[in-house]
Parts: sequence; C-alpha cells; structure tokens
Amino acid sequence: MAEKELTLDIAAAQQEMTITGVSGSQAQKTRMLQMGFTPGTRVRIIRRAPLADPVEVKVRGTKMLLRRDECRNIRVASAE
Amino acid sequence: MSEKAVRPIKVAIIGNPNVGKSALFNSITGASQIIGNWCGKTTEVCTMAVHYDNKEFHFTDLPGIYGYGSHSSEEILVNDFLREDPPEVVMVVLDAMNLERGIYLLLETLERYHHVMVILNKLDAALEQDLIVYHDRLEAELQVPVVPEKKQGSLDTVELFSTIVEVASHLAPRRNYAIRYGEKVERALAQCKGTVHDDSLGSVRWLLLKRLEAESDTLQSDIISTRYNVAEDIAARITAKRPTGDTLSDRIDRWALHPVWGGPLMLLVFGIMFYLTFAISRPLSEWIANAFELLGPFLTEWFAVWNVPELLSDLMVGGILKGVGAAMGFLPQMAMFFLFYSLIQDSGYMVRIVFLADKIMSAMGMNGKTFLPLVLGCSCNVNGILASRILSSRYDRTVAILVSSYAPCPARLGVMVFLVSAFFASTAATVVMLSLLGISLFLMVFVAYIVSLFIPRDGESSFMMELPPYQTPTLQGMTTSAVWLTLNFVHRIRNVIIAASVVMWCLSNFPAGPFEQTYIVKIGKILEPVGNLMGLNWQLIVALIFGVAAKESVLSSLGIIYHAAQDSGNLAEILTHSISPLTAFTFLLVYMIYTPCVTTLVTMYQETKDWRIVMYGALGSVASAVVLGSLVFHGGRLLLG
Repeated sequence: MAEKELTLDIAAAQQEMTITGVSGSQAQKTRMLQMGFTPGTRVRIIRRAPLADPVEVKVRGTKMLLRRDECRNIRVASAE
Repeated sequence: MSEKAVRPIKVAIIGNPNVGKSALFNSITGASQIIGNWCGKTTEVCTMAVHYDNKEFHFTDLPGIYGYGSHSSEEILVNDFLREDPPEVVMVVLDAMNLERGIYLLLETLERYHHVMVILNKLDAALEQDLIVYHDRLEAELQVPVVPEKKQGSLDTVELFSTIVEVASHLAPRRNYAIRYGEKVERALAQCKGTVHDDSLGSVRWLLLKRLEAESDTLQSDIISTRYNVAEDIAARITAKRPTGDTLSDRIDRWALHPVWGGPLMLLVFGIMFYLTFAISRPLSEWIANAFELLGPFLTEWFAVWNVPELLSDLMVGGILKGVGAAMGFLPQMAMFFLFYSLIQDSGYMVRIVFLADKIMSAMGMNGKTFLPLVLGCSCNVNGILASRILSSRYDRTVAILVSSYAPCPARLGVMVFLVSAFFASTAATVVMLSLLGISLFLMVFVAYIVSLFIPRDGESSFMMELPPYQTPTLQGMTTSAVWLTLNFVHRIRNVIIAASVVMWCLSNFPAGPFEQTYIVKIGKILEPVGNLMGLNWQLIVALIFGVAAKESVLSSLGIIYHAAQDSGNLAEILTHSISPLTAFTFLLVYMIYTPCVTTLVTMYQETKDWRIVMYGALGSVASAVVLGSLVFHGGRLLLG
C-alpha cells in the first residue's frame, strides 16, 4: 500500500520513516546523498531543538543535525 | 644508491569529518596540531615530513569530506590538492563507530585510486558499545590493506610504515575496485566509454561516473544510492553487534538537549566555566601583577647602578614593563579559557551548543556556531575571536570575529559598573547597565547586516552536521592544547604589546613637563570638536585613547586626568561633580563600543589576515560610537530639557 509522501520537517518525532527522495539545489542534494540520505534509507526524528529548529535525526546508525529548511528537502514515507 | 630511495613517499590522509584524521596525523608526525571534535577544524592543509627506516614520508592532513564532489569548500580543497600533488598512497581513515559513511568514502576512493590503504580507528569505543569490527574481514572484502588502531595512539608504527611502503611500491597497479551499478548507470557508462583517459586524477570509470553524476540527477541519485547500499552490506558483514539500548551518550543528551532544560543547562555550564576561570585565574593574575610591581623599583635601581639614562630606564619600567605586566596578567585567564575550550570541544558538547542556539542566532543573521565565540567573547574578546575558527564560511567567520569584539568583556564591565554605580542609584543603575548591553546586542545584529553587504552570505552553505557521541577528553590532550594555544598566543602578540606600551608611554611623557602639555592631551584637545558632538570634553577623550591600549586603564587615566587620589571613592566623587549623568551615560555608551583594545585588534588581524576587517573593527566601531553617542546625547538633552 502506497503511503502518503511527506517531507521530513513535518514528520512526527520517534516515527520510523523511509526516505523517498531529496530535492533542493545541486549542492544541497549532492551533500545530502553523500551523507547517506539516499532513497530507501530509514530515518527517524529523535528530537527538535528548543524552538523546533534544528532537528536531530537518526540515519544510518548515527545522529545528524539538520535545519528545518534542510529537512523540507527530504521526502519521506512512513516505514511500515 | 638508487634515485627512488631518495624521493619521499607522499601520503594523503582522507576521511569523514571528525573521524580522527588530525589525531592520527599528530600521532604519526608527533606534532601538536590540535585534535578536535569539530567539523572544519582542519581548514588549512598541513603537510609534515617523517623519517622512518631511511625513507622520507610526507603526510598531508586533508579536511574531512563525505565524497569527492565539487560543492563544498572542503571537497574543492581536497580535489585541488589531489590534482596538483598526486600522492603515492591514499590513506583512508575509518571510524569503527560510523562505518557506513566511512566505507562509502572508501569505496569511492577505491574506484578512483589504486594505491589505497585503510586505518580503522575507535575500535575500543565501538567495543564499549558491544560492537565488534573485524578488520581482517574488511581487508578480505575489499582487497585493501587495513591497519587497525585498537586504542587511540596505539597504532603499530612498524605495521603502518611497512604497509605504506608496500602500497606505494605496487609494481603493476591493481585493477580498481568496481561496483556493479544498476542497468541504467552501466548502460550510460558503456555509452561514453573512450571519451576520457586514465590519468593521475583517477581511473577512467571514476571519471565517467563523475561526469554522469554532473549530467543527470537521476543517475547521480542511482550511483550514490548503489554505492551506499554496497557500503551498508559490507558494514553489516564485517561487524557483529549485540543489540543495545540507549547508550550513556543518549542518556546525557536526553537532558543536555532537552527542549526545556537544554538551554538553562547550557547556561549553567557556561556559568560554571566562567566562575572557575575567574576563581582560579584571579589569584594567579594578582600574583603576576605583584611580581611585576616588585620588579619595577628593582629594575629602576639596577638601571641606576649601571648608569642607564633616566629617560630610558623610565621607558623600560614605566612603559614596557608596565604594558607587558598588564598583558601577562591576562595569561592565567587565557590558559584557563583554553582548557575549558578544549574540554567543550573534545567532549563533543560544542555541537550540542550549536543545536541549542542555532535558531536564535540565525534570527539575528548569524550562524548557530557564532553563539560560542559570542559567549566566550564575554570572558575576553580575544577568546571569542580565536573561537571563531569553528566557523567555516567567510561570511560567518567575519561576523563572528566582529561580533565577539562587541561582547562585554570583564575589563569593560568593570569600568562600566564602577561608573554606573557612581552616577546612578541602584534601580536606575540596573536600567542603565541593561540598556547599554541591549544597545551592544543591537549593534551585533547591525554588524551582521553590514558584513552581509560586503561578503555574500553563502546561501549554499549547509548546516547539516553529524552529532557524534560524547567522548571522554584526555587530561593530557586538554592541557597540551591549552599550553600550546597560550604560548602561541603570547608569541603572536608580544611585539605589538611592547610597541603599544612604548607608543602610549611616549605620548603621555613627551614633551617633558606637566601632564597637560603632553602629546596625548594635545591629541585629546584636537579631537575635542568630535567629542563635543557627543558632549564629551577632552579629559574624557584622553581617557578613551588610553582605553585603546587596555580597556581597564580608562579608570586609572581618569584618575590622573582629574587629579584624583588613589582612593577610588574620591574619583567617583570628583567625576559626579565634573560631568552630568547624561554625559556619563554617553561616555559609557561610547566607551562600550568605540573600539576593541589593541590586543583584540591584533588578534583580529592574525585570524583574518585582512586589514579591511580590522579597519572595520576599529573605525567602523568609532563611527557607530560617534553616531550613537551624538544621538543619545542630543536626544537626551531634548528629552531632559
């Protein structure tokens, strides 16, 4: 069953998601892919900073910090 | 003797940011380049020669990268280096705790180069979390020599150098490792075959892959995804992991990064840091100041015995010795600061600070990382400027450097508190102090805006960074970097301090005679028309000129100018009779912003090598002080009648 696609910035905390794609400028896309945000990878928001930005996510066994704008460029679907 | 033995073997150290390249580089070369837990720490390429077993090796520590792209400044730097100075051996550093990302970079390196070897580190930290990494399996999987580093600094030198020699002397280059990509990519590769040739830049297949990546987004995503999937599989095959719950690091972060408590906890950490810095360094500073004070009369006597002309002896004692003594008094505080700075950096808390403060800072047009220089600038502007190294983009770094020179340092606060309490009752005094600090905060935002007019804000600069687990910093590592940084700092400022002391001494002692006739008073009187705009008389201007040499000397010079007795209560009384509260407020405002002290300005130059930034730091601040000072003075006069 195809899940509704959303962007990582609005995903709920602690929910396991699967990356479906990344967007943004060429440089941003390359960097995200190189850091392991490739389609099919599991990602989970651990927590948000005091003012809901930046966001701490877990991907590929390590934790990463991303600004909300950067999360907006990561498309995800609920991983079931 | 063959020529080959004479030529050094060039080794380039490659790895992800924070992987421990600098630590490895230091342990191999024995240099005390700082070891850090921070992205963008190695901003310059550093090469060191090492002699081992009658051979010369050139190790180069390159900035951390995630792949061989051409988008980030680090990647461009690494690519430029590899093109201009092709290494004989590419040494990839892998972090056992972060294998997938590391193996991804290793795979791309293997696709690109023949002469590759691997250092696998942080095996002990991995083991602590029940993660076993089998280096021999990695070796077998990828046919690449792997040298394990079980504990930090425990690298087997014999094995290391023999592996380097072996990799460098492969007679026939091995075939490159090739990943089998999806059909689309392989077809595209086949199509453009023959259009590029193998050269020192990298293998044909890798060059073609790079071209495809640049040409098509879909292909780029396919290539990187496939490579990552291979990396994921390899990482799974070479490790054994017992499922574990939350690590200690996770448990600390639950509090340290808490949406409500994270901020207050951070402030508490800073508070303790400041308290300890001053509590420990103050007695030491006093001791140094006393020692210099005792040295003064002793030297004067000694000069007299040796028939040194009185003027020269006075210059040495009253000028240089006094100036150097004042600067040395700051050393304990500086050393303590560097110690805490290393603690925050090496433990991994620095990244957490960025996480907590980024939103507020970006609202003010600054990078989240600027928060640290800004806070540390409150202990001493020089510290803030030095801490600005953590920022990588030119815009962010310039802003951080200029902004931290506005941070209220203890010297400034001391003078401000004294004068505010002399002129205003307690409630008014609090309001005055807070409004002064508020104005300086406003100025910081303004500075960020001004800088953005000259240096384009790098829109592409990405914030995304790894959040590494906490590490226990070693006391030795911390003290080494603290001592090294302090000595380095002394070394860099000593000439300027001496020059500034001599200049100030000459200005305030020539022409010989009463103080009112000296050059400094003359300069003050020449500048009086400018001062009048802000309601400042020449006496106050002279005090401000003295303040450029050292901010805290404003009080003592006011004392001399207003002929106050040693007793500071007396100075307060004389001042309240000589100038109005409005003038006092304007003076404080101007004093707070007009220019950082000479040491700060020199550090600004040392860190940027750009006179324009220093000029802005000095003249821009004077200009804003004059404008704001005039506005406040005349506005105040209108309001107060």
